[in-house]
Amino acid sequence: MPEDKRKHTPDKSILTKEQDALLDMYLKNLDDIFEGIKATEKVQVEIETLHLKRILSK
Amino acid sequence: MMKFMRSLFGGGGSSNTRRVVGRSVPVDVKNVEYLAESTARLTTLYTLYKRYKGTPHEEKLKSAHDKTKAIHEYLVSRDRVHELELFHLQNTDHFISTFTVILDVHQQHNMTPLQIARVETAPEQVYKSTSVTEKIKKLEKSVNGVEMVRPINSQTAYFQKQEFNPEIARLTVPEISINTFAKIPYNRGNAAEGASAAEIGFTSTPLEKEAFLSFVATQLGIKNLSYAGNALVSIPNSNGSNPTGLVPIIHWEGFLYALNLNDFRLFPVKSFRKNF
Repeated sequence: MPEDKRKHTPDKSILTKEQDALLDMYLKNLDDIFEGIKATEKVQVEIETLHLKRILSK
Repeated sequence: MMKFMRSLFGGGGSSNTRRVVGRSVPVDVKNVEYLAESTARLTTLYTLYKRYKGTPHEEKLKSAHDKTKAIHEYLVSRDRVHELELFHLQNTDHFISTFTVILDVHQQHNMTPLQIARVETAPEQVYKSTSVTEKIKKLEKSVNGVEMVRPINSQTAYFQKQEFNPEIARLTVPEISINTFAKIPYNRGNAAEGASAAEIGFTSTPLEKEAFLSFVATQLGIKNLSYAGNALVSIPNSNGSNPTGLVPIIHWEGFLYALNLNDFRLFPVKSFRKNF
């Protein structure tokens, strides 16, 4: 199939378009999860600093 | 003396041989288990990536492995191992099983229709039992065969071997992935109790697994078996064909073998699971 031939990749594509899209979605999912995990840490830091501020301002 | 007093009252700097007395942490045991499982999954992802090498998707598979590893390392460093296990259960496991099945089915598609027909019938065939003496003979042959495999340790011997045998066969131990839900039917031909059909799978009860293992042990005349699961493999047949089917994988004497239930042949395999 001419449309499968890309620059240096072989022409055997074993995933359908759907499956390839699924793969992309999963990778994005992983990225989101990672961002989410880092975000929870930021929130934790925020909470701790607010708490400390409250203690100091008393 | 002063040094002792200082150490007692915390003023002398901490020593390296401090021991914390108090309640031990029972949670750590689970953590170790989760960590081991996570590492096993990472190895699986890497193996899967390797299998996809040569296809246009290998970059994405590598990316999946790298990102999962990043999440693993991040959560472990924050001591959030329980979250890591949850993440794997909800994401990694499904991803691994999906893309492993895709790959397996794809490899199956590359077989001729005749072989596909054989795949469908292979697991359901009746396994005839042969006499014990025949089994012992087979075993003795294999044992003698192992003794004859001597490493080439002289120049002349190597040169001679090259002349007569230009292609030295390379024995490999192929990797398999254990299928955790399928069951294989097998037949326990027993003169006293009559042939009984049974099934063996990863989800069988320990009693069923015991029964299967004792059946295999008597057929092969070997001991110390344990059951690892079933796997989809392609086994070379004596008449030249290469049928693919689901076979039980057993663990014996420190190694994993795929068992062909038709003629009770063992094929060494390895799997990605570290604890097996």
